Parts: sequence; structure tokens; C-alpha cells
Amino acid sequence: MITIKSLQFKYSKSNNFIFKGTSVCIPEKSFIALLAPNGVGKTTLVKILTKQISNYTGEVKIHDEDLRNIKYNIYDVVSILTTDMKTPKFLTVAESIKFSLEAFDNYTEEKLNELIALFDLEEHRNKKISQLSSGLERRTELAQTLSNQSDLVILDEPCNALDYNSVVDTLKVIKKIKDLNKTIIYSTHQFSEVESLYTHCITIKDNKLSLVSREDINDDLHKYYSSVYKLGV
Amino acid sequence: MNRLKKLIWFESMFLIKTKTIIYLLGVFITMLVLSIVFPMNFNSDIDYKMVLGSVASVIIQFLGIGLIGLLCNLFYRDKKFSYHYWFIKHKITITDIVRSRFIFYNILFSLLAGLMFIASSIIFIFMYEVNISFYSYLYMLVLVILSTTYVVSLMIMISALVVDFVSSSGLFILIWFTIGIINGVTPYLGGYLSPLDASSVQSGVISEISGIGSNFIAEIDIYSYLLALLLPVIYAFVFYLISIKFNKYKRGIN
Repeated sequence: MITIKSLQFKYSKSNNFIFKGTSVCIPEKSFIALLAPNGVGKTTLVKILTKQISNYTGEVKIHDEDLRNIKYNIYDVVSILTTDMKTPKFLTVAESIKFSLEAFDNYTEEKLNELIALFDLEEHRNKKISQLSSGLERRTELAQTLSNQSDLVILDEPCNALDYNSVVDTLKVIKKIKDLNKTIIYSTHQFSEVESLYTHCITIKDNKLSLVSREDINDDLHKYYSSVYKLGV
Repeated sequence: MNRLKKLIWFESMFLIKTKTIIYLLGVFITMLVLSIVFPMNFNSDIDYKMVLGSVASVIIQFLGIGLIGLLCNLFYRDKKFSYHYWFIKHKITITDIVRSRFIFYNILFSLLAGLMFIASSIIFIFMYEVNISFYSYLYMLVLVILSTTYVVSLMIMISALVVDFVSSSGLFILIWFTIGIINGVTPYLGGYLSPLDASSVQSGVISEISGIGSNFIAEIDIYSYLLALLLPVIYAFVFYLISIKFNKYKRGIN
């Protein structure tokens, strides 16, 4: 699904490498917990995977296609949720999801209703985004994220800045996305968020990515991340 | 085309749902009142075509000031509310955003300016005897509409190039005054730079038709009439190209 070979990258204004000759292969239909403390390179990796950064050396492939050679829009094959994009507050839930579906040429009234139902947004469909709680707003953003129906979903710290109840709510929805058999990369520094969801973990340490499957997860790593934050889903 | 339609829908929703439409309504009512009251300041010898000339000049020269709050904020708004990431995630390109705003706001405000001119001309029918030919009236109406595209395009360009609202609105005011100074010093050159000033070729033509105001352009001939219509459109297109090429999204919006 995603192959990263000898990836090397540093920001132009910095002397320190974020990634230094690292390789990893992300299997299809896996739920990847991308775990690392803040500032280590999670968002940088997400930016590389969505072509926001392309001045790296090495090779990054999605569906066996080198990202740098892809001519079509990357968002046709990657669904992404990041905390730095906000749905315009004046739109309603239904309008914002419809906008997303139309942007990806997927709009039918049935698909709109399907997404609204999948994310339990029926009673909120005509509410403005500004009237929603942060958890409901995130749910709406997740519904928009799924509107392009791609196989790869990247969630960059989706529970960031949410209160406890909203985190629980959001994780329930993410569980539903997992059940759709998509490849999901969930970036977080809080292991407890993904503890019950992940099939593989990618950690970033010493500028290297390392992938470990759930079966092979190291007890020490488990304890380390579990100790940061604990949350039941 | 689909993306452009979506973006135009988005801008319409923005105007309606954020109640910006009320602000615009306020601007246009104020402009309409100004257009009606301003000619009344003149002496009693004033006639219908002079009134229309005055209305056209008021709209061309002062509409920009009223629209600062919306148009100079147009791209800063994206940064402030993080809309730009939302757009890009939806496969909307920077060119789409700039193009849609040029199309939408030019059509909207040109039509509103045209309607304002027509409304004023209807109101004054009850006060003065109509003494203007249909073609002269039509010419002034088209001139108002095309000059509005200059003002709107200039403001959108400034908003696309300058990082924040205070700077972009400040820059617009600065350009407005600078054009006035250039026109004052070298009216022959300045008159062709912008319709925003009283000594522009547009004002010269209006003065020639209506007999109101002063003509700073040495000789008004058929070419002046043509240039007065064409220049705002040419400038508006240049502003559009500059916005596409040098907008702040390309230079990193943050």
C-alpha cells in the first residue's frame, strides 16, 4: 500500500534531519498507530504522504506509484483529517458534507444520507457548524474526510484539543471507519487513543521509522506509551 | 467548472449566512443616498443629465471605500479561519479560489452599481425634466458597470497580495490618494491610470456628456470614449493575472 525507501528529509532552515535514510512498508487495510512525541516528525510524515513536502530524498510510493510522479490530485487517493483545517462555521452539517461529496464527484442524496447516518449526525444535519460541540464538529470533519471514498485515511491527531467526552465520541466514530476495511494512519502521541484499534505501530526514534505489528509489540513500548495517558473506549 | 460553481456558491453562502449581506445593503443604501443628495448641493441651474453625471462620478469614485470591509478582507479571512486548508483538501486550487472571487464579486458589485445608477436615474425623473439621449444614458450606465470592475478587481488583488486586513485596506487608501496626487501633477498620464479620481478619463467623459465637473483630459474624442470603457476592463484583467501569479497562498499564507 505505502512503501517508504531510504527517506531522508530536513527542513531547509534546520541543520537537523527529521528522517535519515529510513524505510518502512505499510500493509493494506491496516490500522497504523503513528506514535511519537510532539516535534519528532509525525506531521512531517503526513505532509510527505500528502505531497505538501516533496523536497526529500528517497522514495515514497502509494499503490506502487511514486508520489513525485503522480499527476492527479493526491486527495483523490488519500483522505485526510488534520487539526489545522477548519470547516467554515456558517455552513450546516449537511451542507459541509455535501460540499465534500461534490468536490470528489461522489454526491448523491443517498451517499449524503449514508454518511450522515454512519456518523450519527441525523439530528444535527441542519445545524450550523458554529452551533456544534467540538466533538460533533470533529465527527462532521470525519464524515467529510470519508467523502472521497479512498482506501487510505490519514488522521493527524484527530483527538487533539478535545475534551474527554468528545475524545470518547470521536474514537467510537473512528472505530466505525476501521470497520470499513480501509488503511488508516492515526497519528498521535497518546497511545491510549489507539490502544484498542491499532493493528500495527509505527514509531519514530532517532530519525528512523519502525513498524511493529500488534502481535510483536514490545512490552516496554506498550508500557511507555500507556503511561502517558489512559482512556477507555 | 464544477469547482468554480462550488466556490461561487460558497461565497454566496458566506455573504448570506454571516449577515455580511446586511453590511453590503448598508453600503449600497448609503451610496444611493449620497448619489441623490450630492447633486442637490449644486446650484439651481442643475438639470437631469448633470444629476446623472454626478451620480455616476459618486459611484465610480466612492464605492471602493464602502467595500473595503469586505473585499480587503477576502483572503485574510481564509487565513484567519483556516479555510485555505479546507479548500485545498477538497481539491480546490489556488487559481480556482482567485478566479471564483474575481468572477463572483465583479458580477455582484457591477450589477449592484448598475442598479444603483438606474434607481437614482428613476428617482430624479420625478424632480427634473429628462434631457439626456438614450445612448448617452446607456453609455454612462456601462461606464459605471465597467469602472466598478476596476475598483473591485483592484481590491481583490490587494487582498490577495497583502498579508492582513489592516495592510490591505491601508494600501487601498494609499493607492486611492496616490492616484489623486499623480492625476493632480500629471493629469494627462494620471487620467488613464484609474477611474477612481476626479481627473480621470472616465470623469472627463462624464463631464463631456453631462456638463458637470471639470474635464482634465485635454481633448475628449471618440477614442477617449472608447478608452474610458476599455481601460477599466484591461486593468481588471491585469489585476487578475497579478493575483493568480503572486497571491500570498503561493508565497506561503502563514
